[in-house]
Amino acid sequence: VIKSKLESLVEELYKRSEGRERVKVLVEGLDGFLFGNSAATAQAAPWLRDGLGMQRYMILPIVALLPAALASVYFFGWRAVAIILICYLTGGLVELGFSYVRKEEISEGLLVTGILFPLTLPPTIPLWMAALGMAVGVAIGKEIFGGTGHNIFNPALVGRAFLLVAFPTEMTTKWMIPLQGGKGFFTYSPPPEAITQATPLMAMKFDSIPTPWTDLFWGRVSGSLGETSAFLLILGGLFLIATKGIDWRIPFSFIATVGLLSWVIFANPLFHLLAGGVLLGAFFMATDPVTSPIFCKGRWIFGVMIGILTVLIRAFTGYVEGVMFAILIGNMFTPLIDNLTMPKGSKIK
Amino acid sequence: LEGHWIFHSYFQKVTSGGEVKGVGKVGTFDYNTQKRKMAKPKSFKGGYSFGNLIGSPKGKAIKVLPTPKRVIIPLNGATPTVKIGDQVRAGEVIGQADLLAPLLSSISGEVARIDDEAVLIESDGKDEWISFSKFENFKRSGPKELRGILYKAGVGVGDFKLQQGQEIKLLINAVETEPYLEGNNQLLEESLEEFVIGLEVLRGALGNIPVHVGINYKSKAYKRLGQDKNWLHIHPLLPKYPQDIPEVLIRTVFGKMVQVMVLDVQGVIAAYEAVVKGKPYIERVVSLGGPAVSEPGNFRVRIGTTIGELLEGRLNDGKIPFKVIRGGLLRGEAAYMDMPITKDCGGIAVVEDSTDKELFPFANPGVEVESYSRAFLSAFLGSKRQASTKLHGAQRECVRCGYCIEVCPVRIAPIFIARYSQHGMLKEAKELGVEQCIDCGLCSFVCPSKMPLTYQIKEGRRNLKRQ
Repeated sequence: VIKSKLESLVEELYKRSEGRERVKVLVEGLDGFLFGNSAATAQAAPWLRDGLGMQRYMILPIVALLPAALASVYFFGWRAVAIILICYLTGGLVELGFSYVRKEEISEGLLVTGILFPLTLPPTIPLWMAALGMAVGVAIGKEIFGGTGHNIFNPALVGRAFLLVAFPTEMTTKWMIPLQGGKGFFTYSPPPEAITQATPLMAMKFDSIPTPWTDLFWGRVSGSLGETSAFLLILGGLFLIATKGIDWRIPFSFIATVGLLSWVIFANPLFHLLAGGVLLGAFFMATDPVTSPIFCKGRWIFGVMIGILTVLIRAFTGYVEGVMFAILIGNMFTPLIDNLTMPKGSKIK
Repeated sequence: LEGHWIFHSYFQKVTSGGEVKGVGKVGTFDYNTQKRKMAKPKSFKGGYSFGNLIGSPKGKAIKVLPTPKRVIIPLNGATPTVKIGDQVRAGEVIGQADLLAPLLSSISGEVARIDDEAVLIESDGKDEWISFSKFENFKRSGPKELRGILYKAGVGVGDFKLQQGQEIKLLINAVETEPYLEGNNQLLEESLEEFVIGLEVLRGALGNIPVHVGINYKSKAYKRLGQDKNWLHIHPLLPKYPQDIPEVLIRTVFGKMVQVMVLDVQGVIAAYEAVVKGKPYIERVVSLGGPAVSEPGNFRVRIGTTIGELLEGRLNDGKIPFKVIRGGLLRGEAAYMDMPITKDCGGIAVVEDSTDKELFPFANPGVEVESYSRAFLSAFLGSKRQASTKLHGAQRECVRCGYCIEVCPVRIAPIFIARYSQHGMLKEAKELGVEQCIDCGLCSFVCPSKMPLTYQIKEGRRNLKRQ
């Protein structure tokens, strides 16, 4: 019943938007959300097409990030959900604006950015700041290049880089001691005395205080909303690899390189793997298909490259965390890596 | 102690009612476990093994379709040698071509129509055959004589002009991998002995050359097929699509591209029947499958039978519109009911062609979904999959997921070539190997952005040829 009612509603909307192409785009977007454009059928061989469409493909990372998103509520209260919602809302509005002007349908890429971006923010971030970062990420990180599929940089990381440069105080100094024992589900936001706690990486870099790896593994540490619990991130990453949502080569080579190099430089590989954004970056950021190399060989090169950059930034620059810049720099190399690893017709065995 | 090859006899003892003719087998014998290890199957990089599709004719015994009321024999460039009104018998020559085997009538009756494309013959219901002389002792006949018989019977090898000193190889394609195509597989299971004799006939006809057989390592036929002949090389293969496309088959079997004649199982059986039974090659086993078919199966039909006659009474009378595909779902073409079944047709697939909407398709757990990714439950349950012409998504920009590159069996980069082809950059497309594409259709199949990659690459290749 609901289906037929919705169907007739969409048809009615189509009729009303007749001749107004810009409005029609919005209706098409609604139709696509409700029915996934299932009306389309193959017009030429092959007649059989894969059951996986772009919607499902883009929902995989969201499912994989749900445990980490729930953990952010557990640790930092319901404000985490407010941040995620405001990011989806802002991103959606920006996308709508661009699709209205360009007369193109809204692409599914926003689904991932909308949850990935807030999970990289500190829990104390003002809501307007999160919204601004998201708008910049979507507009400048993606839409001005031509939308999903054409962007050079990971939009979530562009938004975060913008906030880091524009508001360094809010982005690097106001952390929180995570709540424990399920208190997070009953609070909106942790009490003020919990603020200004250094992250494990800061404690290590400036005061040489190591954090026990069990705390890092389960998430009893301060940090960005989604990067606290290594366990849940690994769980989500394995889900993505199991469903072929991502290729295992990038996270594997990235994590292995960080482990190896930090073992050489800091003699403490486990800490550097679990602290900070290595796991979130390895499984969810570096694997963004649009901005990472497409060939297997290139994916190895990419993973090793951002691994080296991450450790170098952590060890030798004023920044505590290097994952974001490492991936953004890696994104710049993606077209070059693709060109160098392109299979030529003659090389085929 | 992993031992030696046992060269004993063609056939292994088959427990389930099969013919017992000795105990020879292929593979190595492990004395510890007293079990035979089959040789490791060969395969290729890329490709995709389709799941168990609903309405598959797999394993269905071959049924003989009654003699059709009319047949349409496409001319394919041959000139007809009959006139309208002529009476012909089954197996009689109705057309001659310069290089190919003669066209044969597949039923007895009257020539009703001739045009540039085809000859139409109306059956007289008597089904009289021309019979050739039988050569049961074909081993005494020379290659030239054998080729003469094969030529007359319309078997592909017959028209082959053997040149002095030319080294030729024969490769038999005994692995069928496209969804809903099972005719050759089933025929091989049912007529393994005839198949082996057919190989001997072909070998004799081509001057005692070595014969290579690429065969599905999971099939019963492979387990029963012995290797007691030093000219017979059996290559066990993984039944992964598109293993049966000649380019892929040759590379898998020989490790590189070589000059070789490729024949399918039906060609081998036809050679046996022509020489030993004196029967012309006017019948073919085709499979009929798909969710819209009420009775999927394998059918022995006369060449030239119209698809309509094969489908009659075998379709679900549902209200959902369906699409008839001649050939497999990946490489076939949209067919109409008057289209004939030809020598190169492996089967007919009938799938739903509905434009019905589904609410929130992205939330579908996907028990019946066929997908290269493992994003649906079917990947973990191993359940039966539904096939239809639905795209399962909207056309989007490429997000560079890399699936097309992973599955490409000739290891080219479909998305880049398709882009160059679309923008008319044919030089670049050529550099990336646009001409090596074998039209397997896998890149279009896997694409989550639903881009028509195979079609675009085909277009690029066509434009390149035109230059």
